[in-house]
Amino acid sequence: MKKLLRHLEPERLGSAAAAWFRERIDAGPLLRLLDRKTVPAHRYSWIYVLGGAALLLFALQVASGSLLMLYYQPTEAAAHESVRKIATEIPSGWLIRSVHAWGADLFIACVALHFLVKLFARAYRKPREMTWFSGMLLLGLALAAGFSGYLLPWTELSYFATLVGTQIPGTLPVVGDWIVHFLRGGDQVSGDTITRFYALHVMFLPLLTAAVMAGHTALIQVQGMSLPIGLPEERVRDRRPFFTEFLLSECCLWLLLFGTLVSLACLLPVGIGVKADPLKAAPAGIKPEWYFLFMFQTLKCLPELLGVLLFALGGLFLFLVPLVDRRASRNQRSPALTWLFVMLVAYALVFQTLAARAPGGPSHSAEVVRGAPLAGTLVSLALLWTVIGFLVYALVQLVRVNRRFRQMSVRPPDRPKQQAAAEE
Amino acid sequence: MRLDESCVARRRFLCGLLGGGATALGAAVAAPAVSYVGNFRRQPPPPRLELAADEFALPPGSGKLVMYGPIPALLIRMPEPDGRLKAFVATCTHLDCTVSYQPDQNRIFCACHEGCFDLDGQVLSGPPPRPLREFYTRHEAGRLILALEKENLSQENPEKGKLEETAPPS
Repeated sequence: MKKLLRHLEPERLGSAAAAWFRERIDAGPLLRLLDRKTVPAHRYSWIYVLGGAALLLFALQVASGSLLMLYYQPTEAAAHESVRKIATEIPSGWLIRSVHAWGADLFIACVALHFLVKLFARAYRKPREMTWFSGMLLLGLALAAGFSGYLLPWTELSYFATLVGTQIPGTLPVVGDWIVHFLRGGDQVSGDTITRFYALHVMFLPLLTAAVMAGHTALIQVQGMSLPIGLPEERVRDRRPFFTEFLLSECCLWLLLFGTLVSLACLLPVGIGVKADPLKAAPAGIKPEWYFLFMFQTLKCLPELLGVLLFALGGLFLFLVPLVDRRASRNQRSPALTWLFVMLVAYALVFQTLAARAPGGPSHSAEVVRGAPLAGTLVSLALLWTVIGFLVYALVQLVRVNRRFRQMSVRPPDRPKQQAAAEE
Repeated sequence: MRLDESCVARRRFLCGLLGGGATALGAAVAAPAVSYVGNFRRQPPPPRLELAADEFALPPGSGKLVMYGPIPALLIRMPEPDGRLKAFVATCTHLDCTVSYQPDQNRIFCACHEGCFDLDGQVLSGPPPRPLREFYTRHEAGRLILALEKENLSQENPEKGKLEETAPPS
C-alpha cells in the first residue's frame, strides 16, 4: 500500500507526465532557447516588464471578451439590450464586462508606455528594427481594437464617436469617401457597422494581434533584451536568467496588475449608457475614449485635412524611426531626436489635458451597475489581495532561492537532466 | 553541504506554497466565470397567459402552437361533438422536442422519436416516459387564460377551476 501511495505522489506523477511528453515531443531546442536568454540587471531594468504586462492584459482581454460573446448580440435592435442584460441580469456579468472595459484601458496604457520607453531607450536600433516595426503594428492594432469595441454597446456616445471617427478619413482626396464607406459598411453608421466592427473586434484584430505578438516575442527571445542607449556594459550588475528568475519576477507584476484590474472593475464598474438613436441630435460635450483625446483636440484646432495628413505623417515617421535614426544604429546618442520625442510627448500631454478638461460627459454614463453589495465586494477584494500578497511573497522568496542556487553554481534539483547536459 | 540542502528544502516548500496559492486564485477566478457561463439563475415561466379571442379561434379537430413565455403550448379544439378547448405543454417528455396535433389520427405526435399521446396527454406509444402536462384554462370576457398552476388562473378567485368552458367564438 505504501509503495502504491508513493507512486501517486505529485512529484512522481509530474515527472511521469513529463517523461511521457519527452518521449513524444523533443522540447530540447525550445528549452535551450529559454534557458540561454538572460535579462540584464541595471537601474532601468523595470523597462523590461512592460511588454510582458501588455501580453497578460491581452490574454485577459481575450478571455473576458470571449465570455462576453456568450451573451452579446451584434445587431442594431439587440446590441444595447444584450449589454444591459449582461450588466444587470447575468450572474457576474457586470464584473466580466467591467474587467473587459478597464482591461482595454490598461492594455492601451501599458502598450503606450512600452512604446514610449522603447522609443527613448532607442531599443529600435540595429539589429532590432523588425521588433520595432512589429511593435508599432501592435500599437495600431490595439488602438483599432479599442475603437471597434467602443461601438459595440451601441450607446449614444459610442454611436457619435464612431460617426466622427469613421468620417475623419473622408477628408482625404480621391479615396476618402471609399474609406468611409468601407469602414461603415454603408453610407451611415448602422446595424451593418455593428456587425462589421464586431467581426473586426472579435476575430480579425485578435487573430492578427496574436500572430504579430508571437513574431514580436520570438524576435525578443532570439535577439535578447537591448540595453538603453548610452548605458555602458559595465553598469550591468548581473545577467539574470529569463527562465526562471525574470519570469517569476514578471509573475509578481502580473498578479499585482490582475489585482488592480479586478479592483478597478469592482469599485468603478462601467455604466450601461443611453441607447443610440440616429434620430436624436448629438449630445453636448461628446468625447472619444481617452486615448484618442489628443487627436480629437488637435482636429478641433486644425483644418481637418491638414490634421489627418499630420497624423498620418507623424505615424509614418515613428514607424520608420529606426531607419531615420542613423546615429542610434551606430550606438551613438541622438539628442536632436530626443528633443523631438520630448516635444511630441509634451504636445500629446497638453492636448490630452485640454480635451480632458473641456466640459463634457464622462465616456461612460452615470448609470453604473454593480451586481453585488459594496460590503460584499470589499470583502471579496480583501480576500483576493490576501491571496495575491501571499503569492507575491512566495514568488519573491523563490526568486531569491533560485538566485542563490545560481550564485552557488548549483543547478536546482528538478531541472531536466537532458537540458543540463545540453548546456554543458 | 548543509546550505544546499536547506535551499533545496526551502525551494520545495515555496513551490508547494505557490501551488496552494495558485489554486486559491484559480478558484477565485473560476467561481464568477462559471456562474456567468452557466447562467444558473431560475427563469420561471410567467404565472399566466391571456389570449385574445382571435388567437384561440380554432375549428373543431384542429390544433395550434402558442408561446407561453419561453414554453411552447399546444392548443387543441377537440373534434365534434366534444368541441372543448385543451392546452398542453408542447414539449415532449422524452427529449424536449415540440409536439404537434395530428387531426387525421386525432392524437398528439412527436416526430423526433415517434412518441404518441392521446388527447388527455397520456402516452399511447413510443419512448416518452410521462404524460404531457396540461394547462389549467379559463374563459373570461372572451379571453382565454392559461396557467400552469391552478391558483394563477385568477388572483381574485383562486378556486375557479380548470376548464370552465364558454362557447367558442363563432
